[in-house]
Amino acid sequence: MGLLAHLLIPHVRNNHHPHLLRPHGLGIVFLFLILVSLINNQFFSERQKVLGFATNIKSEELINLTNKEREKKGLPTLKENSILSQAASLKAKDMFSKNYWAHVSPDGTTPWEFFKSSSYFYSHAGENLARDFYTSSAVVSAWMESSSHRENILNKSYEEIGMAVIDGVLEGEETTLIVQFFGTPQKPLLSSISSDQTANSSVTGETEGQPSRVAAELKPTGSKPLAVLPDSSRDQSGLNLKPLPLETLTTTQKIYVAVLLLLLVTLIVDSFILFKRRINRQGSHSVLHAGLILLLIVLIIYSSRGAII
Amino acid sequence: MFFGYFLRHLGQFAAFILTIILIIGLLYLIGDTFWRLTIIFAISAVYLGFGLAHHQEEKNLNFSTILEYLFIALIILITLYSIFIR
Repeated sequence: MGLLAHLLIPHVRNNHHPHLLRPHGLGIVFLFLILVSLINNQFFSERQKVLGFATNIKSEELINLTNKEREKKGLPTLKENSILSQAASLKAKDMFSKNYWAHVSPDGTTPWEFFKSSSYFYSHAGENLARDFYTSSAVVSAWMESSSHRENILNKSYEEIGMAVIDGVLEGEETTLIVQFFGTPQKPLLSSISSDQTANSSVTGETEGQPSRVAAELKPTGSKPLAVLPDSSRDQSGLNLKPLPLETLTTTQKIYVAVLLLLLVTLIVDSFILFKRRINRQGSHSVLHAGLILLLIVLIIYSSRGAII
Repeated sequence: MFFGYFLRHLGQFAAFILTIILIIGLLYLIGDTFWRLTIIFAISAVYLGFGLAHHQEEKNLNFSTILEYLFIALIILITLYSIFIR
């Protein structure tokens, strides 16, 4: 207890200067943060990065979390389909190569083109997109908070799912893109037709009724497929400052927040005690440091939230 | 007198932190890694510079104070780097 007080609280025995706030204490905090990043990124992260917060998003985890949300509503789980995952991967690569962040590419390519080019012929299809997240649970939480993305996840018409998690540079920024494709293969009645004919009927179906960017379900007419895209405009617009559950942070981010919180509390207590006792101590000002550390904590927490469309 | 000194500093510090917040806002507008790194280094350097200039003005700048600002600036640097350089 005495050691903790010596470390964190200003009093006569530490000359009114807690050791954590002295140069050696702050130096140890800095080295500890570097060490945490290095160890976590080298040994526990999926993606290799020397410093900083590495993303830890896995396709299998995203599928499991999506299925858990469906199970909660009593819906059947979705089976992973490697062709759908391949189509999702093509979509992610297309976004990187053409440098866009949207359901429909600037040249008008819809997500359904990637279904077709991967030879996945569907009666129902849907797409959810996400970027800049750090953990799988944060991605699924964000989708579930958005009514139109939630509708896609909980759509009882879907039977299969495909996922792609791909790193790259988008709009000049290193990012991780997540593409979630939903699908229901065309039923035997249609699959009895030769694959060429099926492909043609799908193309015809969509050119006659292009899937809109908004969450509009195209009315099925004959074999016309049903394709659904989320409508982000239905969600709350602007900066989303809803409190975030801390479990959406990576281990490194949690350790950073914990260490910075300890530093923040020590700085606030230090300022308060010095002010109360009217002590004019030589050294840097804890109030200024506290303001900056608080800002860093807020930034870490809110930067863990990426974007969805 | 003590209270007035404290309040005067609080005002200065609040203005300084607001300026830092505005500069950090730039990081959200600029996606390019080079410019992000430049801004992050600039924020850390400005923090160090402000702290040293402030204590120099108050004529109580010493080696220990320099090290304290240096390490806080380094903590700012590593944290902002972790957040904005993916």
